[in-house]
Amino acid sequence: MKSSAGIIMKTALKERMRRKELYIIAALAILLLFLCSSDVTSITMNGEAVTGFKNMFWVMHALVHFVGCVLAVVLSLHTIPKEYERKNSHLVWVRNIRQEAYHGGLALANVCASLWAAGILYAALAVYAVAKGHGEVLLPMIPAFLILSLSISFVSLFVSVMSIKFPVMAAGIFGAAVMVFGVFHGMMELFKNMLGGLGGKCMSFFLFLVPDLNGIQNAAYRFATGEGIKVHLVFVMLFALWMVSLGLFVFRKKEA
Amino acid sequence: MKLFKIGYGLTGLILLICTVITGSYGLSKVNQEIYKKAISLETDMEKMGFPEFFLADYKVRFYNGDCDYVVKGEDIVKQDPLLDVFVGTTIEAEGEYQVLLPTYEKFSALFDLLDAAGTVSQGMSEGSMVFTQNTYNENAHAASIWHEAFHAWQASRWQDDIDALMRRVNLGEEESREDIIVREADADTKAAALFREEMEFLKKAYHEEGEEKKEYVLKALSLADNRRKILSDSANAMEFYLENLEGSARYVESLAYRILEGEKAWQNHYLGEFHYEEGSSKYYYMGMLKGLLLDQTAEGWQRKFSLAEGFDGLLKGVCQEE
Repeated sequence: MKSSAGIIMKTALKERMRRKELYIIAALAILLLFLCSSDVTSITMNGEAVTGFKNMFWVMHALVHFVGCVLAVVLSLHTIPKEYERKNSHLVWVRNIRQEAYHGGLALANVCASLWAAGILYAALAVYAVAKGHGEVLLPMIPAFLILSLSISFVSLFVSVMSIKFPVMAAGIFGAAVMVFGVFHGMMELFKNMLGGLGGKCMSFFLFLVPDLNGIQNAAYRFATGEGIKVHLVFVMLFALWMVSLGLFVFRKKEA
Repeated sequence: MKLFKIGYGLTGLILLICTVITGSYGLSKVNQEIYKKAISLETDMEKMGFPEFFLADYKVRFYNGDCDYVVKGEDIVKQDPLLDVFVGTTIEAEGEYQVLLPTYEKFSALFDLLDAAGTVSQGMSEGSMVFTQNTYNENAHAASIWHEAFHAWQASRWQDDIDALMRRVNLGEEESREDIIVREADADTKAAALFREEMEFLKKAYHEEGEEKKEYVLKALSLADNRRKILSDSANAMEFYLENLEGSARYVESLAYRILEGEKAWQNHYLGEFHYEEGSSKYYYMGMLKGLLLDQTAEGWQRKFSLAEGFDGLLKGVCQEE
């Protein structure tokens, strides 16, 4: 099963490379780099322009994470439904490959593509850091990216799993909702407190289900800048990934 | 396949165990330390002289977004949230006044969001914040406990007077105290100019000695009298409330911070440049400054402090007596 999932993943990844998604991501990275390196930015916080390396790095780190999550949704949404649409799945069934291996391979390809995209954006951030004379963050940025990749992988895997069971539109909505709840976890908590009542209770429930993706982003940022992180957050994300991966076994397509 | 399933299941189990083990439950150690730190100031703060003002008398509720951790002495009890909002305040519960504030972790995390929403600057102008994300620390949180505890002390002694004051303010249903100040005090350019002038005299007085100090104080107080004649009764009542109730709480808070963080940090955060801004913050500052002036001129003033005459009455008494 392992090898068949690997072959499926490789094939799906190769197809990605042939498509133009990579150009769009590279363009985004260049745009980000341009925004970072510009002395005059329009980013303001608390009514004041955000300046200085640390502030800009923090803003850009959060931005890379957000864009990375959006790309994870976009890159992961169509892969599995398209396979079935093109009837590629039949070629797999005749080889007696199990559904979970097939879906697992495709989901892994989605995760890899999402991480690749996020990696390009993160590399742009690294270039900015070096250009600003802060090469010291370069080395810690490598493990920091691994921490950040947990969040991106979660979004990608969640969307992939949803796309097995639900139509593209529904999977996209679920994926976007989970991404928004995760990325703006703290803000949603505030909102929950404002809502109160049944709405607040429902919100509490969603916030319990969706891991704090922004917490992971913050942990990665803190690691890159030499501050300590809470290992609990990392384990929560790993466990959340494991839980979502169960969907690969639970959700099945009738066609097979 | 069987082996894969076992490995997969085991991985999940190990991750679950790690998640549970590394999680923190109950009130975090940080908040417990903050509470202990605040309580450890009791002896020093008692020397201030506000009669029967002991932090240990009040329960402190740390709200973590889901529940309140109610702390008194060594006891920590988890309870349903009383307000379910992130706010630092004094609240009447279980037949007594209690201190309510977010846990340190929540408060720190909120700074990010508030900053992004521009609420920090709003909070600073309203007087509810003197710190930014970079300067807020555990000692500042401990000092905030003292601020709110002092409100609890005020409420337990002067609730009737406070109610009478607020009846004079006569806030509408949709109105906040900020609205009254902005509309009736800040909008009056003459009153605003007098306020600026009063602050200048008070600051000069703080740095002067002897007779000159008294002269500056008296000049400031005479300007305050002039302001009162210009403003409406509701604006006067609101100003009195903010200057004396919030200003004295800021005075207590600043002294707690001074003990914990030292002279330099205290001066940076509490005695920085004064800038006239719309909203309540200026009254917090003015009240605190008047408290500090009384420290210089009238030892033990805290025992006489009441809402009957407020800071101005005490200062007048001190400066006019020969």
